[in-house]
Amino acid sequence: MHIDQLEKKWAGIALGIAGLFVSVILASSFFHGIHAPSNVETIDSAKLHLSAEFAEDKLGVERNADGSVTVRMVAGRYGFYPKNLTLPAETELTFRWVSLDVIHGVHIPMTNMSTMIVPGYVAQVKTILHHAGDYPLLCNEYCGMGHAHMWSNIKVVSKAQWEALNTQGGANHG
Amino acid sequence: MSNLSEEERQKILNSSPVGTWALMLIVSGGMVFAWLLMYYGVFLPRGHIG
Repeated sequence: MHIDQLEKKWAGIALGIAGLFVSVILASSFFHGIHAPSNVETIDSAKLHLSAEFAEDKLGVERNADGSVTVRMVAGRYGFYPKNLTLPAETELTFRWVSLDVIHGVHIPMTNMSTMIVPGYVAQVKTILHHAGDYPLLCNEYCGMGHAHMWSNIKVVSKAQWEALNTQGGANHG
Repeated sequence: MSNLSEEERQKILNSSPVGTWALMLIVSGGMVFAWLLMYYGVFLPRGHIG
């Protein structure tokens, strides 16, 4: 098959650009440990209220022994529960989400935190929030007539402030 | 109708497409710059997810 010399050059440039992007992503993955979320874990969405992890009194923030924080939330039409959370900045956060009804999505604007929450599965995403402030937590997967009103709040404060709030016991009661 | 002579026409056909290369350079350079800016300037500073 004859390919014109000029076409070869154009194809080479296009492939070179694609190769550059892939190389940067691979370098991030191999040398900086940046990977796409890949947790696969099932759960019975009809029995969340009876589960050991997502019963109502287990939701919210949990401090781990290594200093990281696990956040457990339930998404259901039309809200994320607990409705209000206070989280520490510059701390490794593991978000664990489940849906009690239909497919939802969760997105925290101005961060990279975004994932789909599929009934029957636990959506887990790890991240670090660098900037303190108030963030809305929005559903970005159409889930019904009230989808546009499905949101909650996250307040990110400095780690020292968060420790003080948690010592007082008033930080994460939703 | 083109007013080019056969000689001029052949000269254009056989010469390097400078305008195309310039356009290609600008577009691809802009795309690479924008991509790197989004990746290193926006995505990574916001805290990667995993």
